[in-house]
Amino acid sequence: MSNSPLVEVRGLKKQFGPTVVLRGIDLIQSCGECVALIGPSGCGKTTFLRCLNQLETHDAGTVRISSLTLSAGETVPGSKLQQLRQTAGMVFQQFHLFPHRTALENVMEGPLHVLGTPLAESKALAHGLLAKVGLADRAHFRPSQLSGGQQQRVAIARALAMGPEILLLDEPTSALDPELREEVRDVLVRLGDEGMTMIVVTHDMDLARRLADRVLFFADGVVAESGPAEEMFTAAKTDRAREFLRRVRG
Amino acid sequence: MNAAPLSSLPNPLGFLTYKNERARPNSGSFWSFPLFFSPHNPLSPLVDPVCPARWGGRFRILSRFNYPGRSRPVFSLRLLWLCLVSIVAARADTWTDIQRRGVLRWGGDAEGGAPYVYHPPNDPDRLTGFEVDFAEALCKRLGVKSEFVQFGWNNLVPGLQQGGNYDVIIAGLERSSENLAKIAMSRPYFAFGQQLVTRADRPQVLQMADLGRGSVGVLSGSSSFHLASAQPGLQVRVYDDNVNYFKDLELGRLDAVLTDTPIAQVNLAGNSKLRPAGPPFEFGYYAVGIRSADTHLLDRINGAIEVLLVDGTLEKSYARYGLWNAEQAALSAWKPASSESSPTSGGRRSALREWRTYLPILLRAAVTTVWVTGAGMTLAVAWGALLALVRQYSPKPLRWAAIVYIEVFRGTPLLLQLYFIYFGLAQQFGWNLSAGLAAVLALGLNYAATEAENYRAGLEAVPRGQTEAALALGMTRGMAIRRVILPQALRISLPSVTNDFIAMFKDSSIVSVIGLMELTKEYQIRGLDTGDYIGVGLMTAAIYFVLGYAASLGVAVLERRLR
Ligand SMILES: Nc1ncnc2c1ncn2[C@@H]1O[C@H](COP(=O)(O)OP(=O)(O)OP(=O)(O)O)[C@@H](O)[C@H]1O
Ligand SMILES: [Mg+2]
Repeated sequence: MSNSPLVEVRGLKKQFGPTVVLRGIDLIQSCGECVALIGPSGCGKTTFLRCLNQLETHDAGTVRISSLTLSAGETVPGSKLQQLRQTAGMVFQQFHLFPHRTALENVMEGPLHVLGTPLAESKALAHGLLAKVGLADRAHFRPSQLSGGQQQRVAIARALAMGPEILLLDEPTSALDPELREEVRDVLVRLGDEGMTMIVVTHDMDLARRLADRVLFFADGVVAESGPAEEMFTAAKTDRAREFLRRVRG
Repeated sequence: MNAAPLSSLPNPLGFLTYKNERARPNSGSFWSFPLFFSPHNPLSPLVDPVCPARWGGRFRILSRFNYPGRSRPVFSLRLLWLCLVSIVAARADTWTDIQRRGVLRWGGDAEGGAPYVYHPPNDPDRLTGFEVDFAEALCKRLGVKSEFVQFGWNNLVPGLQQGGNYDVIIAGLERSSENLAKIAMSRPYFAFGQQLVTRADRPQVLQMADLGRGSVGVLSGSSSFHLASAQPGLQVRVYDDNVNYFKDLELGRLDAVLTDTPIAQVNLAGNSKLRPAGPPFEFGYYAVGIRSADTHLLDRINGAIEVLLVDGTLEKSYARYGLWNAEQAALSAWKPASSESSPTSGGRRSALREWRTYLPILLRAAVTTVWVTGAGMTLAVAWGALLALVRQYSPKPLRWAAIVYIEVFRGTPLLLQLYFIYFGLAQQFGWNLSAGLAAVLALGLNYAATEAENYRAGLEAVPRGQTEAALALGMTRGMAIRRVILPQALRISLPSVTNDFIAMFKDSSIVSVIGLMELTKEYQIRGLDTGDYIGVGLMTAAIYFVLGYAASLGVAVLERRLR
């Protein structure tokens, strides 16, 4: 791990009209570390993730990812935005694969058209990534011909194809049937083992336990509690976190 | 048309008197009662054979008040039968009708009708022209009032044949064998010739042969049309009026116009840009068009025209328009050629039996339909996509401009836009577009508005997540639209675009108004020529159907590929 952290968020605030969603979030994350965000529905986890790659603009505070720093209120030039998004890849709860392209084309889309990687190279890269997520034999399938778990793995491969330094994952397993979650968890855990830096928003405690080095518990727009995964799951300090964990475990 | 209104039926009294006043001889089947009693029928026991005008009077003895003494029920039944038959097949001599009305209704077309029938530009409410003068003199002579009925020139003859709301045609209708095969025609009231007109800057053109492969404008369905069509190599452009081909000639869109002498005379007067190319040729006569059955009306009109020619009335009228000449002076001595066929009702040819002649003609016209639609739709699809993108994604002033464009082009008639582009732009800016280009532009620009709305529906139907996924990959907004949103939106809009393509295919018939000979226009002309609207119509419909169906199949394949 390098000395300076990969992600540095300070005092991040965000509101939608009168609704204040994030009241000042701080996060320091080093390279290769996996952080899980948990918390009750509507507490702003997705919003926080979207602020990190600027699908939402934040109202106050600063976000630094790698060498890119974004202050609130700053008009960010398009090129910087694109650089940020290439640095921080995103995986959505609903996959959002491009339905008019095959799995292979979905993965190639970024390198070929955004990065300008030559066709043959992009193709080789895409094939490699599909193999890595266990879908070498599904390269020429359209998203509509794939199961949810397969689609999500293609989406992960698509994000990885841009060569990001960090992956932002918004509930990657929650749109899947329970029996399909495991294949996605396996892929993510393997990625984590390979040293990928990740922030994963999840209600899937199995995923969080297997993947996360650290868990952040969001409540009322702030980080109510944080700590190493094992400690959080066995001995959360705050009542709210304990209450929440008991409920999600069922 | 002449059937007794049903509203008169419930009242038996009114029914009978009405019937008595209305009964007229008929040209229909033997069993229809007027023919049975017609003056030409030896079986006719009741009627004064000489004067059908008295028919109504003689019949009146049968009314319930005058009836001398036969048992009423039997008689009433017979009368009822007569009435029913005459309701079904009613057509009596129009002359009786005209006299009863005291008005002769003559059909003509005032659109671009100078010097025949037209509204003078300085007094647009008035109707004038040498045919108005002729009609009025004729009516005065016949002792009735004159009433003009506006009707599309092309359809005057079938209109008259099918009853129509006019009694006769006075509309520069040629006393041609084609017309005589369909309707009766009076003796001539005017002698005309064909005049080739060209631009003053083309002194070498003296006859049609000098035009080579040039283009000539003619009136649809006129004798000029047939003459020009018979000239090998010549490009014939067909117009629906007598004004616009002169405009196109002046603008250089045509090399010449072939038209009747009176029209040429009016348009050449005081126009230094145009000149007559050689002397008039192919002389012919204008005559009053009359239904074949109206023999009494025909006799009356013939008698009246003769008087008007001899007593100098027509000379005075025509001279006012500068149209009196030696040919007109010779009209009073006119005698019908002995070989002249008497009118046979119908005069139809079977186009289906002659499909070898007509199918190639129709197919040639279909080529125009196809390329106009193809080019028009290509423009509409591309320009519509741009409009939709501007409307959806661009900053406000541009977005408003796109919305205004879409609403204006969707909200105004295509015909108006076509005229605007073809004639308006030439008049205002000197943009002298060819008819083909104007047609493609009008169809394309108009349909682009519709396509833009189709695409907008498509764009709005693509989930937001798609844009976000594209942006999250580091795409620019433009790239996200181009690579992710548009392809999906197009796929969603494709069925509507296909519908519009087929709609444009049919709408393209409108371009005939600027002289493009497309399929529907060809149908109209050939239907008129042969009188076989059904035969030609079936062939035309078959061509439309085959082409339209082929297009649908093509799109279906495309759709499957895109899926
Ligand atoms: N574009 C928006 N406009 C207005 N309000 C929004 C918008 N996006 C999110 N919100 C609100 O912000 C709050 C936080 O939403 P967010 O999606 O971040 O919650 P979450 O923690 O991800 O919840 P969940 O666990 O259900 O996904 C919610 O109350 C939501 O209604
Ligand atoms: Mg969420």
